[in-house]
Amino acid sequence: MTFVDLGHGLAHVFQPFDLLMLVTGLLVGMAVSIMPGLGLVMGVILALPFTYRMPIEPSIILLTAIYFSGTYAGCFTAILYRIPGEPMDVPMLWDGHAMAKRGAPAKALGWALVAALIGGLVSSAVMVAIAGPLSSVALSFDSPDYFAAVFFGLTTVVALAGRSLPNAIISLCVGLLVATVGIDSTYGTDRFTFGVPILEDGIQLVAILVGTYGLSEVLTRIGQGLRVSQPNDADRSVATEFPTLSELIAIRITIIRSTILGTLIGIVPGAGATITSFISYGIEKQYGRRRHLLGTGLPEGIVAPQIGATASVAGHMIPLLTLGLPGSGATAVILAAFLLHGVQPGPMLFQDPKSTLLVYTILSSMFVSVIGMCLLGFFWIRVVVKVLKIPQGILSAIVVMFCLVGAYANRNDLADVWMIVFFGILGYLFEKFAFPIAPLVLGAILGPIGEDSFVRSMIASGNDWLVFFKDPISAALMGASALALGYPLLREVLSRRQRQPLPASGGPR
Amino acid sequence: MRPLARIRAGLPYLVVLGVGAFLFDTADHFNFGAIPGRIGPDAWPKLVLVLMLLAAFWGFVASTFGIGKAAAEQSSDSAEIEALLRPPELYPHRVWLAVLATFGYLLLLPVAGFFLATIIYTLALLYLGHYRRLLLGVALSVVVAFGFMFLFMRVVYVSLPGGIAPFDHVSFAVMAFLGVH
Repeated sequence: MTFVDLGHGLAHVFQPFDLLMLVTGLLVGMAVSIMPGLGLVMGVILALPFTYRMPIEPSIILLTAIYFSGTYAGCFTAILYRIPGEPMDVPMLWDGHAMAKRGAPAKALGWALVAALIGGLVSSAVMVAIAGPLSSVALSFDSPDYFAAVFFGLTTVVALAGRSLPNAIISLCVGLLVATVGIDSTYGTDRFTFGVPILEDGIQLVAILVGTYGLSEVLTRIGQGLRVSQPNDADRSVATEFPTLSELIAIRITIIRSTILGTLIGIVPGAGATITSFISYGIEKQYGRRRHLLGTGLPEGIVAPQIGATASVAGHMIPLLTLGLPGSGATAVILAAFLLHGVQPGPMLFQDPKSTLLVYTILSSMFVSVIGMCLLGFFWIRVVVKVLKIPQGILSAIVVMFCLVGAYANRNDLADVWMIVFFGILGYLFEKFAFPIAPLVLGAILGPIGEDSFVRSMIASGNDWLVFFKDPISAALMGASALALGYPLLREVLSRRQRQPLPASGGPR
Repeated sequence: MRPLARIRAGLPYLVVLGVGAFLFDTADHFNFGAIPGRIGPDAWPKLVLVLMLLAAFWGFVASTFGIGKAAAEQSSDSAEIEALLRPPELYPHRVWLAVLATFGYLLLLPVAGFFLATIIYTLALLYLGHYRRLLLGVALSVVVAFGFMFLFMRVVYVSLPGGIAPFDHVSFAVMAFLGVH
């Protein structure tokens, strides 16, 4: 049944408009991931206004294609010029740029391309295989299970958000509170509206996303002086040289390990492509056969982070499509696109034949996106890299205009634009004082689902706080949440131990 | 860490504590008819606010008294990553000038219309972004305003503000040129 659905989805993807959106998405994703300061989340946000009047299939295909190619194209500037377009490209530049400096830039690009291809295709296939069964499990969820799933998502986002746990919790709470603004659906009570009419409808998700991820990033970069390292040889022509089969077989353990890691970590909310890329590289550095040589230009140092980053995209789409829970900034925007089209992602999507076609169209588009981005990377990337030559001042002005006009286009209401400016300033202040943005955004998105399932659970159980620990699913998820919250504390303890000064003499050798 | 730096580090948490306390008080005065045995619309926000206040208190104590400072110290690897991804803030005043320019733009939009307001705003942003070629900057601003009008009015079909007289004549002229009715 899955293959038939996938076939129908594939036929849909190859319809002219859907295919056009896919290719557009791949090119946009490449351009934004190459430019430092833009990034794939910004790319997805900038494309969102153009989906308002599109059918839902090409809308989601466009955004997913940006997401996929955004995890790949940054490798070009990282390898060739040591400029990481995205934080996720940092681990790759250690070995990628070292290999390029050793006179094998084409080979380094080839390794990255093959890694993206393997990571993207395998994780997409895994996702297609488990999406259906997982949605069946999700159908059996009742309110405590749903609350526990949301709670798990929020705790992992907090745990993985940064160095300061209190800052991440505060950020999450701000997001959850933002979600409560407006008239409460159960009691009809005004909450935190302060008599301002535009707040009665609640705060638009688009305003939060565009403000915190889009405008705040530009403000931060204006403060930094909008400086970007300009490669002095951006015009040089570098072809891509594929690794041979025997070379691939030689690092098969790295490939298998990173693919599994990328897909699994991708499923965990909050663990975006950046975290996956760093973890994959870190695991390679700890367990790889040639770990002592990492950083000197080894293919393992290119393959591990690239596979991890690309594989995480498919991993992130699983909770979004089966549970309606986004785990990253980009999937949050994709969720917003679903909601703007009046579709709530979740297990019910897999029940209705019409929405099943939508799901499998999206899933099929992921395979096409992976292959397409590698083809475009192989043939056209030299053209795309030229975006580095656009002066940052011009680029920032254009990005701000996209943010403001894009938000206005949602409802033709200037109040939404004011809201964006508010969230832009808030995002800038968060960035300035080291409060992570991701918990705020995911709190704002998951807050209504969390509150609804919390209130339902409490009403159904007669205010029994232990209701979340009585069912096996919810109890397991709450246990996992406790582990997730314990992780940063454990990390801090371990980090302190590592920094203990060694005795001056007499220590064991 | 010097005393002044500690106070500065604790300041954001004090703001969060203040705002959190105010919001808790607001939530405590939500107007609703309570149903016995059922939690009200204030329960969830209060729960979140308590968590936020506790976290802010933790953050304030940790930053003011330097607890966890050792863990926050960077290794050379993470310092290199930070330097690559997050350059230091050199021009904070420019950020607030950009915010002021944005406020001005939003106030100007309903009066001058999208086309003229966007030209002025884009020019301001270019200046704040160290772009100093005035004539080229003006030309670029016109191109940006024109491009956005074309994109959003002809492709996405959004009605952008036209402004009031006499500025609306300019907007209508551009719209007529673009074939927007």
